[in-house]
Amino acid sequence: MYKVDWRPLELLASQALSGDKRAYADLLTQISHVLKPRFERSLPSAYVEDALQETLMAIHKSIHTLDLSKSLAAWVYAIARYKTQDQLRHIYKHAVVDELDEGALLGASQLNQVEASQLDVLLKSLNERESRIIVLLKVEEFSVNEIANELKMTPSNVKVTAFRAIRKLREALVEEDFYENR
Amino acid sequence: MKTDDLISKLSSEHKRVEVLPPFWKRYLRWSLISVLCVFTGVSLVGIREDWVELFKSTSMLLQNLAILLGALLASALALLLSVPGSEKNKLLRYLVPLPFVLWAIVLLVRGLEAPSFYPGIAMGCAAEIFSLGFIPGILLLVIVRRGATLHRGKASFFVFMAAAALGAFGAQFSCHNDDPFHLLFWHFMPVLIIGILGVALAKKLLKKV
Repeated sequence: MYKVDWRPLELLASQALSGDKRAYADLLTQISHVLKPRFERSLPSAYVEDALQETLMAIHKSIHTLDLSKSLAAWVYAIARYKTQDQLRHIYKHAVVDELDEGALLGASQLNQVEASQLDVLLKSLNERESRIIVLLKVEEFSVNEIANELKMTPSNVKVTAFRAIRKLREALVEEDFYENR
Repeated sequence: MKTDDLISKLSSEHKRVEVLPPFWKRYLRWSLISVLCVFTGVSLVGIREDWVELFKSTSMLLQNLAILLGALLASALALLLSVPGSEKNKLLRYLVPLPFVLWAIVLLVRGLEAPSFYPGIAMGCAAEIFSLGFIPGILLLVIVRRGATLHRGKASFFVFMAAAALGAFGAQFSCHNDDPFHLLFWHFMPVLIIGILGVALAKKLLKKV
């Protein structure tokens, strides 16, 4: 990893603070060149451009807090780190939903292999709300929105609860060794 | 939108930037105005007649110093948190809880020596802490909002803690009850609760960068 020389960027920053649009554009371009490889290392490729643009917008909004007597690098990296964490939270949230939508954790095929009597045993490992959501989602084949209306929850709350329930079911399946017995 | 297009758009909107005043300037300004506010508030509420005793008793002196120091450190950290990159001040981060811990310890030690446990009900003290800290709290919040706070929960917590601690400092001069349990339940706890309220209100009070 090469070491970034921040001195030219600090010069651009001081010109940008005095209102020089060209210096400001150069500064943002240089910063994006510095940050892009960092985002590529810490985020999935699909999210790199989003994180970069979010960071540039945050820099634009916070430029009045830039104190050139202190480190420009620390200021830029603090914003970039915050935006990376923001993106990771976003990714995690959507990963939960995507996994649920695709049935990746416990697909319909696996659940279909479980007999009704076994399903009753498995559902006991869940709390009442989780169990109700799983029955509505997988047995009665309601949509997430229909379940949300039925249980007076938000659709994203239904998805997250279902995701957690599915994870518990999978653990219960492994414990009970259902796969081996079949 | 491509990143290059975004840069063109942002740079076309760019104007001369009015940079935030340095930390020490903002901090001194706030500290002076706030201490003045609290003393004005205390004089309006009525200062206790034996206030000189507060400086004679080691325990009360220690408490007052701890509360004032807690307020000043919490406000310093809140201000630092409003500038990206400055929040990494580890020394201050570890120092801030110390005065509050010291205050609680002094009260608990004095509580162990107390003949009885009777905190009573003193909503008036809690209300006084809130009202004495209100203006300093609003001022600090305005100053923090002018910055760019990345950690809104923490910043809001320290804004509220600083304001409440200043209020509690003022309340020490107007409240006649020096019972350690009264001070623990009706002076120390409200400060903590107000701090927690700050975390709860963070997203409403401080804008996302």
